[in-house]
Amino acid sequence: MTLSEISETNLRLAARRAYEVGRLQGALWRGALAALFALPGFLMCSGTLLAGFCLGGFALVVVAGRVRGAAYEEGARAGAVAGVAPCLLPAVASTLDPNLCAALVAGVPWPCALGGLVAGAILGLRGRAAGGLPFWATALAALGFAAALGCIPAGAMGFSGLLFGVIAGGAPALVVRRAMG
Amino acid sequence: MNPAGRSALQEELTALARGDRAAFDPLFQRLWPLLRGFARRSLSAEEADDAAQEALIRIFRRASEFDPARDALAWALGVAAWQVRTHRTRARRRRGEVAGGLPEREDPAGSPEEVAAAGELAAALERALAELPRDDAAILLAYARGERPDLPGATFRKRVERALGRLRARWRIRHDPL
Repeated sequence: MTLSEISETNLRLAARRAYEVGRLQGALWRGALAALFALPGFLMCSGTLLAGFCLGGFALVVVAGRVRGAAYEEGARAGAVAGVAPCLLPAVASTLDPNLCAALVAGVPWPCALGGLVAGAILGLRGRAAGGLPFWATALAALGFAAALGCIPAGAMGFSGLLFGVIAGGAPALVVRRAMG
Repeated sequence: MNPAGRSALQEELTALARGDRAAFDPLFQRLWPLLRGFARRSLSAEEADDAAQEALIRIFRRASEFDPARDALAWALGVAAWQVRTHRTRARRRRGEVAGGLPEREDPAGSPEEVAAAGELAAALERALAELPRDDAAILLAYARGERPDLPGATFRKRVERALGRLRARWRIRHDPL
């Protein structure tokens, strides 16, 4: 190996390192931003240890998706966008009706079902551009963590409502997608 | 760069921005000669290599933020142009320092760690100097001692710069500054 080849190899390694560092920095910023967006969902109704775990998990999925890139990143982005409604809907509704958090526990968890419906539709439509396991795994992880923040106060009923909403919203979108080829 | 190369650069940088690591090697192969050639239009060979390396690192660090709607070639050369300008400014300052004599030295007494590190650095520098052509080593030592050989000022400055460039190149090979 000649001296110029050695220095080019070093340069290539340094460039690769710079690329990965730059990617990680961007990912950390996005993760922090995602956590900031989901924070109202955490503060308004949840605020428990489990909710903290979900908030951290959501940020982590966004960071990991961005670092890994490609379908993982697209999936994390789609899941995060889809998770906005079920995550923030209970928080927004509780600012209008302060008793909503308590009502969520006792009554029908409509914010979770409605949020799930919107999330399912968004995910079904965004899934058009990219498919495959990496996309769906990261999308569902991001959606799951974000949506859980809004639905934790409603307990099992909330998660059932969320699941029902996601299926009800996502299935038609997927059927339409398949029909369009 | 021909249209095919330009289009390939656009595709590779876009792929790398998406996180497709397979695009790294072809992009590196395409960018490095391009940046080096670009820098050499405005700087001496050694300075150009330094500027091109820094531009390359900067481009790869920011590659994830590249907007595919932008022209990749213009974006890369924009980064390189900034780096070239920075190097030209630095070179001007160095020339000013050479013309103005040696900078004042700080108190050499330091902590034992600093003394040990300085000793290692001095030994490494001595080895690098020993590998240089005899004239280069002599001119650098004269410059370090603040002596001015019987040469016109401009000639002395040029020789110091040339010798420093060669020293920097050898140092880079041995000690990998990246």
